[in-house]
Amino acid sequence: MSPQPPPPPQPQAANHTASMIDVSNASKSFGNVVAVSDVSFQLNAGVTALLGPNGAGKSTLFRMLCGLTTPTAGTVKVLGRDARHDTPVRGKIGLSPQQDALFDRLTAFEFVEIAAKTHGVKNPTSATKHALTLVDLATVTEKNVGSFSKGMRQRAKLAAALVNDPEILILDEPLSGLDPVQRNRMIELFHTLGSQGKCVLISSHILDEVARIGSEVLVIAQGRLAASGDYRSLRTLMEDQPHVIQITTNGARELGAALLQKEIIEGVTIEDGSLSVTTSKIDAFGRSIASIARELDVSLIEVTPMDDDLESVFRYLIERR
Amino acid sequence: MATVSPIRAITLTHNVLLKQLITKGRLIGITLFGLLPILLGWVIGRQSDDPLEAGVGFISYMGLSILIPVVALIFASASLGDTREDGTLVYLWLRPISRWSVTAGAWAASSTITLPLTVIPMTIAAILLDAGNTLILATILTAVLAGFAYCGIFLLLGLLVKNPVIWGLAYIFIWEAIVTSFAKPAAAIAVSGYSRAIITGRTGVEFERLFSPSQGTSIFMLIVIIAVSMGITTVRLSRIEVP
Repeated sequence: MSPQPPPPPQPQAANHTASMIDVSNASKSFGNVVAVSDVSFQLNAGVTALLGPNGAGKSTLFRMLCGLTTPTAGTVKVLGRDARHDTPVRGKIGLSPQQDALFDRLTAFEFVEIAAKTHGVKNPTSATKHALTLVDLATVTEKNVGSFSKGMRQRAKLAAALVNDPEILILDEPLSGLDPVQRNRMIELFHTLGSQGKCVLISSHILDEVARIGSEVLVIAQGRLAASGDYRSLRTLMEDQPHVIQITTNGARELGAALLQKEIIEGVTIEDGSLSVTTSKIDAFGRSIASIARELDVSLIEVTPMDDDLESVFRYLIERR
Repeated sequence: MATVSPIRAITLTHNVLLKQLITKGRLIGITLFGLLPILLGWVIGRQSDDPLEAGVGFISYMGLSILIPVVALIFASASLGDTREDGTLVYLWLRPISRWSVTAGAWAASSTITLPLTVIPMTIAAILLDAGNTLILATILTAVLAGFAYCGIFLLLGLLVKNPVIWGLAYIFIWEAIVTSFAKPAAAIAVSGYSRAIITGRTGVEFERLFSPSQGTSIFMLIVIIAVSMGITTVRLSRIEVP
């Protein structure tokens, strides 16, 4: 029996009557292209990672949450409101969009300050300084954001998203372009914000990054919510995935037969002398492949895992739904 | 969190968009473009037997139908249109401020840069035409009103179409400059129709076959054009899919 995908993330407090973010059967199509399909989840305070490959629908989902685009079907509520039509709720959202565009003629300080002022922050100057300090841009406040590197632009966007001290933080690939030290600092910051009672939703297409971002994970692929829940259970689920391995050898037929006979692999195909095997026993395969080749007196030229990428994990999660 | 008053929201939007609009290339190009009517005004002023009639004709066709709309097109269509294209619109759109404040701020920003770059060279041209204060004052009034109206129209155009400059140039040269010169009904739905009516009314110069509503009606209609285009822009801004 195959394991079931983990249940959707639950509101942190069971007696909450309304979630901070409530997505119910939301779909979004652009003509014939379905970007998001029947997605439902609820989130409350804490850090949640939205994991998905490029083009999976993460940004569209974020845009729906912020009201930047309307769902074709279903509902999307933030703090019980529709951000597209409710002006006050937009003051409680901080968005760091995926696109790199900034008001390039403004300095970093002006860029963040304009966000503070248009949010009606009471002391925009000190709020701006604080936000820029949080993202380690305090020393370059007078430089034009147009001259910034990708990492600095990313942090300027983060500062603008943080400056109004929002209840909801929606951060679209906020770590891309950051160096490892900055990544650690920002992840630490996200966790601090989550522990302060804010709902922090962060997208990424990098599995290892997500492992560090949040214990709660939503996995989206091909516009559908493929899995959701605690990162550890999701990781276990992913480890159950059969692995596909490509072997280049001068004895494809003999090696394939031997691996099948020893029940180390479940499937084998031979094409142009190259062997492709499917196995759920990746550890046993790794331990025995060399010795079996030696016994058969065949050479192993190359052994390449074909599905050790995120796309295949998503595909697996989608297929097993 | 304090609320943002509409005036404050308009001012903030105006300031940020104005900074984005003013580029060295645009300023140099348009300043050079503005030298053309000055030069032509000086030439016409020296050669014409009736400088007032020649001046009104020149201001009407060169200034009101070409210089002002082209400059307004460049700035107003970029004001919101560029932000939508490059993805920075989100930084104004996702704020607890009303949509019409964003529209008004964008219109104000494009007007702030369009008016000096058009009214000043046209005024200098009017002075060089040597047709008296009537023409100078009529030029200033008409140029300001036409500038505001064109900024309203092209602000909307920037949100409606891709490549608004191409569409806008086609509109200016085909509709505002040519069609309205020959067809009264067309002039009744064009900025140049009303702006020409104002300048001819104030100077007492009449052109044959020209659409000729009263000055009051013309001013009122230009205000209506501004209000309607800004209203539609606001609705468009509310319904737009923000990148």
